[in-house]
Amino acid sequence: MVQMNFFLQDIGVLRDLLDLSVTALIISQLSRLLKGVLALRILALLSALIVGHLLARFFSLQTVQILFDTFLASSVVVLAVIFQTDIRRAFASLTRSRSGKDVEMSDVIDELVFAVAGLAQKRIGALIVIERGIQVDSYLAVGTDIDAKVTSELLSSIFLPYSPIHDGAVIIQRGKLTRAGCFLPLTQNFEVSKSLGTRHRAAMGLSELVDAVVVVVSEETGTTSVVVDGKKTDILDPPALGKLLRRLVEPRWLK
Amino acid sequence: MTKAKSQERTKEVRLFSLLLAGLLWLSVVLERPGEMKLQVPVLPEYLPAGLCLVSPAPALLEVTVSGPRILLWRLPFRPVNCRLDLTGAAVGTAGFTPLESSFALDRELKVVRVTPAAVRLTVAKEVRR
Repeated sequence: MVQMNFFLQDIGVLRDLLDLSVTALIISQLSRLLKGVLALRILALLSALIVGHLLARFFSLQTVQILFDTFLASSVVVLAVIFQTDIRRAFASLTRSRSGKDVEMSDVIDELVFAVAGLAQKRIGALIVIERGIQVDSYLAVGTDIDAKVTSELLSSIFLPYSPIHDGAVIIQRGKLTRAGCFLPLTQNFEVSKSLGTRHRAAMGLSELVDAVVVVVSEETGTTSVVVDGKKTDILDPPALGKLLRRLVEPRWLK
Repeated sequence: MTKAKSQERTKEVRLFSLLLAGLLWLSVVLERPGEMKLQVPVLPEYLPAGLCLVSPAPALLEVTVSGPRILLWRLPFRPVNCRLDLTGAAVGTAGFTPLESSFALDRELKVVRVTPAAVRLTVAKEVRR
């Protein structure tokens, strides 16, 4: 009987360990969907709420306990509202297929790389947004509707300094050039280098809000950059740009 | 962000996930019901005027309390007394059974056992010289 009790106690400890491990795993996996800093902030906030709840319960501070309990109960909804963009982006990345890596070269990307290479060589500034899982429409201001096939000639002509719509971003949605001359939201990140111009700031600003890939050509230096998730990667040559775009943009987003 | 920094951030997220899971688990475990034995002093109160206690009340009662563990853990840090209401006491020896309200415990805590179950007290008329 005594042995049986010990056995049951062991099961209790094992069950608790399993309970703890599975909970930690679920939280960890959910946190991976969000950006590192954001996930840390949410986890710290929830931990603080639970500590507050436990302390209030231990010291029988009923009003404080009601406050913490209410915060905890509504935290899921509140967090979903506050971080809706990030959560949307996270779910979009969840549904991203992993099987399209060795797909044939897309015409759109080829045309885009060719146009960007020409613009960079001539030091003509350009800002090209390639929509992926999340729609970018709600973040665009002004712009001219265009419904055209993506060609290097069209892209180059839009960004020519004499073009009336050269001063904004070109939007590529489902493999079509849908809008030009669009103004994008600027980044709110204060850590961004002051040496970066408005074009780069706009690219970062949009990519912080949606999962779009933004290609920027600097008119000052002629360098090409790709901005994703608010992070800028400088590209040295057209083949590298093509390779990176093919990795980032899956064919289903160009159909 | 560099790869090293990204790995460091991942580690931090895992650590915080474990911390949050631990706290969640702790909050569940602390709500599980448990029992605790306490040695509670007896405090006779409201003895009618003109009467006095002849036999002293037992110094301590052994009280078993059940309820959420988080509330039980707090009990050793706060004084718990058994207040015996002697309002209806008359001259002679009588047994007084401590009620749950005598211990002034948290609403979620229940008194399971009290040993001895009744306190026998002898009350006599107060004589003044």
